[in-house]
Amino acid sequence: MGPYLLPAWDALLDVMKEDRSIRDQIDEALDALVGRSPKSLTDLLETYPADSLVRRIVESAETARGGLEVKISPETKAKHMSMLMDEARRQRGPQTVAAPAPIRPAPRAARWPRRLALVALALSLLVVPTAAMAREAGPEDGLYGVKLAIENVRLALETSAEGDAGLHLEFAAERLAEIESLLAQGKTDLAAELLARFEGHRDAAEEGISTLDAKGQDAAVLASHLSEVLTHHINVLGALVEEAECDPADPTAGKPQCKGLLTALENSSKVLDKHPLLGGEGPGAGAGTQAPAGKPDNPGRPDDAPGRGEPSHPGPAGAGGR
Amino acid sequence: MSSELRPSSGVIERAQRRDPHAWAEIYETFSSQIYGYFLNKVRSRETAEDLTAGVFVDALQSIERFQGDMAELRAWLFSIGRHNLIDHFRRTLRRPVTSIEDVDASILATSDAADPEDGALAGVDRTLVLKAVEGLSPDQREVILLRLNGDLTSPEIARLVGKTAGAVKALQHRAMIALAKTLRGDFELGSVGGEGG
Repeated sequence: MGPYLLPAWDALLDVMKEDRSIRDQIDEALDALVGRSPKSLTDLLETYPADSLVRRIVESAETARGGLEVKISPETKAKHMSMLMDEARRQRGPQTVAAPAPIRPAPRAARWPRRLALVALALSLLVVPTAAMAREAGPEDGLYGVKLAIENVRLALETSAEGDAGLHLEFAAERLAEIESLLAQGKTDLAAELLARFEGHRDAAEEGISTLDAKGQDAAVLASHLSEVLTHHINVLGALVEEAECDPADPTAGKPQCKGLLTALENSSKVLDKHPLLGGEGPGAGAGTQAPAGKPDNPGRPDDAPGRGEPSHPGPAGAGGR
Repeated sequence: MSSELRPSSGVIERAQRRDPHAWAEIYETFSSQIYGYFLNKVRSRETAEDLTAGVFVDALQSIERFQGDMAELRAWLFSIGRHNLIDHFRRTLRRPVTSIEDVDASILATSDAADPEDGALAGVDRTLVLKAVEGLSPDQREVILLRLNGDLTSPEIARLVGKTAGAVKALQHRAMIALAKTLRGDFELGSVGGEGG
């Protein structure tokens, strides 16, 4: 290379150095965005001047990341988890942990026939193992979505009206227990979200029991269970209404949550009063089905609703619901 | 998409003992990233789901040979996934989808793109992003999907794709510039420290 080429060579080296510097800065920024210890986007952007190249790259990366993100449906997750857990159990047997070895992928031979067989197996076994795994998941746990998905799958697989009503009752009771736990922690917003789920199961169970009863089938056990769940629910709500000092005569008065609490209380009271099976007097029975939810000093079910079976649903017990 | 790895401690050891709950945790932690990578490669929900399940079944069969932490486990799962994907394409004699027209329309639905509650993703034009990614070279696209879908680092990607970390950074650099130009109408090359617009 003659001396006359040196300036051009130096310029090329400068460009390459600058290019490498930009690459490294972009890489560091992406590490901060998606790496092992990611920063929040806001914090990350603050480290770069406005309109800088890296800042714009980071913003574009975040946009692209959002556009590329997809999530597996809860149903598919439940299927996959069930399959995986079942296979883990099958393989576990008496074996112990083998000595670790260098990282490398599993051998690929004959994977797919085996995999397809496992997926097929999972379709027939998708409920029980995953349900057992997710049973303990609470509303704030990562597996809670799976828990709900499994419940939906169980409902979808249930073919009898009695079984369907029983499942709705089971899930209503589960939601109620979760609501109580959340309320005990002061997490009222999340509890309110679960209340809607509870009411959905409650109504479905009540409808199922009505259908069974109309067909002349024995629904007494289910009805008794529903009655217990409703009574418990009413007690919980009654305690909350008392705590919030709500006025049943004026749901809009008092704390903001009063309207929702009183409506929920009234709805469960209506369900309880709707059926003779539940100890009520059936549709069109006395004022209890339409009345506001009781007196201010006992804001649970209306006190004046006749025909309530005390053993099965003794009504609110003041603050005893919690 | 969360980069945070939050399984309980000792999950790998428990997974090596074939503890079903440990596998549920591992699946819960990584499945969305792996599924997202597959879906953006094959553009078929059903195929992406099968491939995702396959990764974990294969991992279960050979987990005792794995040694590392959770981040390394993610890279390991992706290495299994890439091998399976190559097998898939070889078996079906298909190439990765290269046209947005081939995309299963349902995966473009906003509701599927992300949890609506995820505020960071609100307003993302998924179709535009997919078109922008489609416009990258295959190597660039692979790096970007592993980086942004898989949350892998450049060295991890380099090991997976058989390139040097420098080469991956160069691909990433060019890919990000191209993406930024497509996603930001006002984007022009500028200096690093400021005056980028």
